Amino acid sequence: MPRTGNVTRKAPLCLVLLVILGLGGCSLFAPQVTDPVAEPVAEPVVEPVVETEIPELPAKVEPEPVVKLPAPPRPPPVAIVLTSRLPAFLDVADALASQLDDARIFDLSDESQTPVAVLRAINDSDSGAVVAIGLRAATSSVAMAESPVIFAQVFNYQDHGLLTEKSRGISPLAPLDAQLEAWIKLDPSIQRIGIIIGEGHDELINEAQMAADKHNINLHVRVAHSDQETLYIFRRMAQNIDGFWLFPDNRILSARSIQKILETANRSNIAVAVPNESMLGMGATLSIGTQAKDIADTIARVIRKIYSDGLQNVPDISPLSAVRVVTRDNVEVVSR
Amino acid sequence: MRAQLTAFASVVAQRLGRRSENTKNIKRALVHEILSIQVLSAAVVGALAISGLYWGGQWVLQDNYSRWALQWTEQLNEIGAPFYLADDEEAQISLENFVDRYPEISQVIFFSKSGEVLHSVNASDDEDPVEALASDDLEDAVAVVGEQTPYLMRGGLLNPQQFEITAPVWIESLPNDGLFGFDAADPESPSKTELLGFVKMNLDFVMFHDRLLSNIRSAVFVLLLFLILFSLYGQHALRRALVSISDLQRPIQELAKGNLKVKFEPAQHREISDIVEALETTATALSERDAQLRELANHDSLTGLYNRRRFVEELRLEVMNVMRTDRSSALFFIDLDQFKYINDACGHPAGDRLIRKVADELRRSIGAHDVIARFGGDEFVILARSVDAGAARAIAETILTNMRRMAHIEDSRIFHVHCSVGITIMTGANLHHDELINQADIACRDAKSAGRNRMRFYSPSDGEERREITDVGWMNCLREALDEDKFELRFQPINNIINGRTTHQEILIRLKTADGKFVAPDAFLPSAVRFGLMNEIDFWMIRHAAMAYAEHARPGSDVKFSINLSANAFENDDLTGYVQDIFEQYKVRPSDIVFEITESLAVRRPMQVDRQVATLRDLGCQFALDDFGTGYSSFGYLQKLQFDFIKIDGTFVNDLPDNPVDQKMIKLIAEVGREAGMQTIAEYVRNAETLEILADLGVDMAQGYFVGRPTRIPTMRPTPIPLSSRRQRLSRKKSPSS
Repeated sequence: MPRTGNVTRKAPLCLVLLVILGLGGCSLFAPQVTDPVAEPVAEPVVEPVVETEIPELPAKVEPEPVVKLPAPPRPPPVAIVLTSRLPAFLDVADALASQLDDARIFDLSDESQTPVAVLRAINDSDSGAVVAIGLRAATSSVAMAESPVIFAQVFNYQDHGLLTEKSRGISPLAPLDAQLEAWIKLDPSIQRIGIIIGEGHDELINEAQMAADKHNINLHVRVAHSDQETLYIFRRMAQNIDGFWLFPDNRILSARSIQKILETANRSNIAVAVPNESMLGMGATLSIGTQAKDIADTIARVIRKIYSDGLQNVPDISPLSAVRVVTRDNVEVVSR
Repeated sequence: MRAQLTAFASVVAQRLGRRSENTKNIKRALVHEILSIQVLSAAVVGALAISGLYWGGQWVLQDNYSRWALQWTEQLNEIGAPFYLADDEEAQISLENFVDRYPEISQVIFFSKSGEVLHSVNASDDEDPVEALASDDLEDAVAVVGEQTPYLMRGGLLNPQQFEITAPVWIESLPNDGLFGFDAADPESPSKTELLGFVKMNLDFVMFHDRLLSNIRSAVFVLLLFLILFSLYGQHALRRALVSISDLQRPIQELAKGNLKVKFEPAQHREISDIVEALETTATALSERDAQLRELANHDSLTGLYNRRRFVEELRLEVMNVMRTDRSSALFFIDLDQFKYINDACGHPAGDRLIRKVADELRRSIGAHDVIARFGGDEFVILARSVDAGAARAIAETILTNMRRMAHIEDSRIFHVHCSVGITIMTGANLHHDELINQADIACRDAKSAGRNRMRFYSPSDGEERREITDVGWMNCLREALDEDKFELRFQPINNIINGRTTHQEILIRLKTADGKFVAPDAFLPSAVRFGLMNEIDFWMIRHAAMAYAEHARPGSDVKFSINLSANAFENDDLTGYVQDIFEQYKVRPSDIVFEITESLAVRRPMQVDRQVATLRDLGCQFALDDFGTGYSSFGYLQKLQFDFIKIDGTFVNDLPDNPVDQKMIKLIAEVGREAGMQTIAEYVRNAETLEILADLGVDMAQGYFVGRPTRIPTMRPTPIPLSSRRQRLSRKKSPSS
C-alpha cells in the first residue's frame, strides 16, 4: 500500500490543482512497475451533528454553525521516466516515488513500449510533471512531454539541448565544493589538482575553480576532445599535480584511457577521485558521488517549486546537497 | 710443374723432419711447459668466456629486442598525437624530439585511414622513401583496432635487430552519459570508435649490437693484454718458484756421481723442502749402504778380514808404492794344515769357528800398517809393508809360533792347528800382483811338501820349471770357461753286471785348456770350490746334462743319466727350483735322472742334503751315494739316507782280485745295500776278473774302463756276462722253486 502523503490544504493550491486536473485529463494506466504506486487517499468523513432534546438549562449560546470546507485538491501525479533500470536511475526513482503522493514510473528499457508510446501515455494522463532520469529518458521527455520535465542523472545535457523553457535539470554531480572539502578532509596534503573535461562545461569549470580557490587548491583544467587526447594531456599534466579529479564526461573517456590514466597516476603517486565506485578497483583513490535520496529530495523540491511558483522560478540546474565519499577502506557520507 | 711441386714438398718435409728431430733432442724447459699450459688454459677459458659473452649477449639482446619493441607500443599514444592533436604544433615538436631522443627509432611514418603516407619523421636523412601501406597490411592493421594488442610487430628476417611496428590510431568514447552505467569489471563496449589513421615505427637496435661487439672487442683486447702480462709475470714467478728445484740440479748431479756427502741447501717451499729432506735421507741411506756394501765387498763375512778383492787392491797400491819408493815389502801366503780333518770331523760350524780364531790370531801377529785377508777356505794372505826378508822371516816365525800355541777346543776335543807359510819379497823385479800371489802360493806349497808347519821363501830359480798352474790361474781359467762355455761333457756307461746291459750314463765334466787339452775335474774342482765357482759349475752341469739328455735320450729307453752334484749345489736354496725349470725347459723325465753326491757331503750336511734330496725325489729323481767307503759314515747312515744306489769307491775295487779285505768289504756293502733297498755300483772296474769277482760278491752294476771309457756321446757296449752270473741263471731255470 502506498503511503499517503501530506497534502497542503491551502485553498489556492487546491484550486490550481483542480484546474490542472481538469485541463490535464490524464488517464491512469496501470504502471508496469509494481511499486511504488500512489493510492488515492480516503476522503475524510464528516459526521453530521445530531440535535437531541435536552433539559432546560440556563440559557446558552448556540454554537455557530460549522462551515464544511471542501477537501484540498490532490497534487497531480508525477511521471517518472527511467532510461534503464540501472541502480543509478532506479534508486533515484524509488527514492522520489516514496516522497510523492502519486508517482508513476515508466521504464524506457522495456522494449514492449516505445518512448513515443510512453510519452503519449504520460501526456494522456494527468501528470503534473515528468521526471526523466537518464539521458534517453530526458531527451524523450523533453521532446515529447507536455508537462514540465525535470531531468536528472544527465551529465552532458548541453549537448542535447535539454534545458528548455519547460524543462529543468538536477545537477548530475554532488556539489563541487563539498566534493573538494571531503577530499581535502581525507587528504589534507593535496595541493594541486588536475581536471580534464570535454567542451561545454564552462559553468562546471567555474564552479570547480571557485571551490579550489576557496580551499587554496591549485587547479589545472584542460579541455580534451577524445580519449587519446585526454590520456596525452594527463601524461603531461601528471608531473604538475598530485591529485586528479575525474569528471564523468564519457565523450572524452574510454575504458582504455581510464585504465591508462589510473596506471599512470599510481606510478606517479597521484590521487585520483572518480565518480564511480567501481573504479576504485582499477586503482582510483576515492569515489565522490551523489546520493539517490539527495537527488530525489532535490527533484521533489523542484517539483513543489514548480507547482508552487511555476517553472520559471526554478533554476536551470538545481544543485544537490549531499556528497557520498567512498574510499577503498570505508564509506562516508557528508551532507551539507 | 709437378716435379717442381714434388721437389718443393720433399724439401719442406725434410726440413720439418729435421726440425722434428732437432726438437726431440732439445729438452723443454719446465717453466715454459707450465707456463704454456697455464697460458693455453687461460686462453681457452678466455676464448670460451668471450664466446659465451658474445653468444649470451646476442641471445639476451635478441630476447630483449622484441621486449623493447613491445615497450614502444606503450608509447603509441604519444606517437599518435599528431592525429588527435593535429593543430598542436607542440605535439609535432614533441614527436620529433621523441624520435631524436631514442636512437633505436629510425623512422616514424603516419598514414591516413586509406594507407596513404601523410608524414614521416626520420632519425637520419638517409632513410629510404616511404611507400603507402599495402592493402594486406592495411587490413591487418584495421583488424587490430580495439584488440588487447592493437598493433602489428614484425622482426627483420635478414637483420634480427630491426623491428617494424604498425598500429592503427583511433579514438573511442564510453556509451553511457555520465558513466552511470560504467562497471570496471565489465567495461562497456565503446559507443563510438573513429579510426584516425596508422602509425608505423621502424626500430633498429643495431647500435646495441654494435655496442656489444665493440664491448666484446674491448674485452678481448683487455683479456689479451692481461694474458700477456700474466704470462710475463707468470714466467718470472715460475722461475722464481722453481729456483729451488733448479738449485737441486747440482747436488743431485753430485749425488749421481757418487758424492754422498753432498750438501743440500734448505728450501723455502714446503714441497721442495720435502724433496730436499728425502734427498738428504736418500744420500744418508746410500752412504750407509755404500759403507755396508764396501764393507761386504771388501771384507770376509766370517772373519771380518779383508777379502781377496780388497786385498788385491791393497796389493796393487803397495806395488806402486814399492816401485815409487824403491823399498821392499813382503807377501805371506798362509794355509792351515789339516783343516779339512777338523772340518770333516766336527762339521762346518766348527770349521768356521776355527777360521775366526785363526783370523784373530793372525791379526794379532801383524803390525798395524800391515794388511791381512782371508783368501778363501783355510787360506790367508798378509801384506807386510816396508819389510825386508829378515823382517818377513820374523813375522813368519811369529805366526808359526802363535799358531803352534793356539789350541782349539771343539766337542770337548782339543785341536792344535798349524799352518804352512809361503813368503815372497816384493821388489822392483816382480811387481805384478798375480805373480806375487802366485809366488807366495808356490812357496806355501813348498812348505807343505816339506812337512807343513813351517815357512818357505819363494825362490825364482825354482819357479821357472815349476810354473804349474796355480789356483789363482785356475780361477781365471774357470771364470773364462764358464763365461765362454769351455767345459765339455763326457759320458761313461754303467752296466748291469748280470746281463751286461747299460743301465746308466754318468755325465762327466772336462775343461778344455787354451792348448786344446782336456783337464779332469780333480785338477780344477778344488780351485772352483776355493774361488766360489763351484755353484756355477754345478748349475752349468745340470743345464748341459739336460741338453744332452734331450739330445741323446731315446724314447722307451730305460737308461738313466747320472749327474754329479757338489756340496755347494746343496748350499744353494735355488737348486730344486733350478732343476725343475731346466727339466721343464728340456723336457727331461725326472725318473731318468740320478744325482750323485759324495758320502762325505751326505754325512756332513744331513739335514740340508735330506731336504733337497726329498724335494728332488718328489720330482721323481733318484740318488746315488758316490765314493762310498771313503767318508766317515757308518753303515747305520745307509739306513737313514734315502738313496737308490751306492757307488763303491774305486779304492776298494782297484786291487780287488788280490785284496780279500776289499772283497769282504764290498760283499758287506752289497749285502747291506741290498737289505736297505739300494743297488750297488762298483767303480774303477778295469778287467774281466774284477767284474767276475764283483758278480760273485753280489754287486749289481759296474763302471770303469773295462765297461766303457768316457766318450763324447753316450755309448752302450754290453759287457761280458760273468760266469757266475750264467751259472746262477741256469740254476734258476732248472729249479724255479729255489
